[in-house]
Amino acid sequence: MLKKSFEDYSIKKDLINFLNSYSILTDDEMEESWKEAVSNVFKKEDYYKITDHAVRVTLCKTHFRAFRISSSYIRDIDLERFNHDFQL
Amino acid sequence: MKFYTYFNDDNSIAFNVFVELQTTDPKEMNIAEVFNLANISNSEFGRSILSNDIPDGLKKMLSSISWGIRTYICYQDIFDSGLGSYEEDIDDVELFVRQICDFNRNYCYFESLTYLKEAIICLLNGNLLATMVLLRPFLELAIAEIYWNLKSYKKSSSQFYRWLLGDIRFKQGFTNMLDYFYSNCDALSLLDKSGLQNNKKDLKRIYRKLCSYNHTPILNESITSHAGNTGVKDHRFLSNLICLINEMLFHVNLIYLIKYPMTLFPQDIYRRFGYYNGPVGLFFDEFNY
Repeated sequence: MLKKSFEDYSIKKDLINFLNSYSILTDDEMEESWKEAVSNVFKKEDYYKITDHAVRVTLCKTHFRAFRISSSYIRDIDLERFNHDFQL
Repeated sequence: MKFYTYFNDDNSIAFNVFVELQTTDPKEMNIAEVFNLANISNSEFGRSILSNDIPDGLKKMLSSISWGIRTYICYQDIFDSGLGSYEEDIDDVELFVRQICDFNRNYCYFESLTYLKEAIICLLNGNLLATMVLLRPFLELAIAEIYWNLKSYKKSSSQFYRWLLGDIRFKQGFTNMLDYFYSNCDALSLLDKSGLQNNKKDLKRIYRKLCSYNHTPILNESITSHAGNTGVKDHRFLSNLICLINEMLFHVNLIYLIKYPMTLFPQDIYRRFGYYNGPVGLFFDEFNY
């Protein structure tokens, strides 16, 4: 019932349109994307061998959730380093 | 385990992340498994309520709590990346940095999960008063998460960060946060008004109930007057507590669903963006439920 109420929600429509503006990746492109994820994010040689989509998604989700929780608890900020990096 | 091995010796701060991914219909998990507490030696009481040798009504209720927690854990996947707009002319550099880097953006949500987990640990150890006491901050933080998110989009996130860094002028009461949500969440216009009023009323009622155990309780509110001072001896108190947790999770999950209606429309985001180039949050994937 709730789902029906939100069928015509403008934000839902906008988000689905945004998603549909990207074409569906081919299997080769998905493989390429996994290689990039291993090389840029996970940096673990063993991960190249993983072929199961569900396992890959689990690893991505784990990484993403870990990033979210750790960034939510940042207490001290090195302002000097920040100013240097952003040349403020 | 020896005492000193319990602590991190390098002063690092560790975070546990729990992810479940179902490729078939999701299976039942008990409340200890949901928080990966299976290896924690619960009390005899904990082992008995996790066993099959309990009344069917209690079993059903605990199962419902487990689903409620799993649902709540899933919401972190749909949170968007930023905390709305920020003030460019802000004179506090640290505040400005936190705003533009979106640091701490889901602090309230993750802190609420900590309280919920601790409440479940207490429950499994038969510490019902401690369970009850921990549920109030859980509820406050769960509502604070959506309040600050909404407020930050409608105005700016500076008040959130000022509160977060200790400026008590920006601390919000539970009722204020809830009222603000019901007056400002855009998705509410599509829903049945009377149902929403009930949701709001129920959340306030649950909160009032929880408050009794956080402030000087009067005789009728005292757990000792209901259950004695020798541990769990009153099954009515236990069943009331279990019902309260179940009801609270239902209403919290409902309010999150209203805030993030895209949870009802999962998408195959990986096929569109690859494994790590997609938008932050906004969608549930096909493995969320």
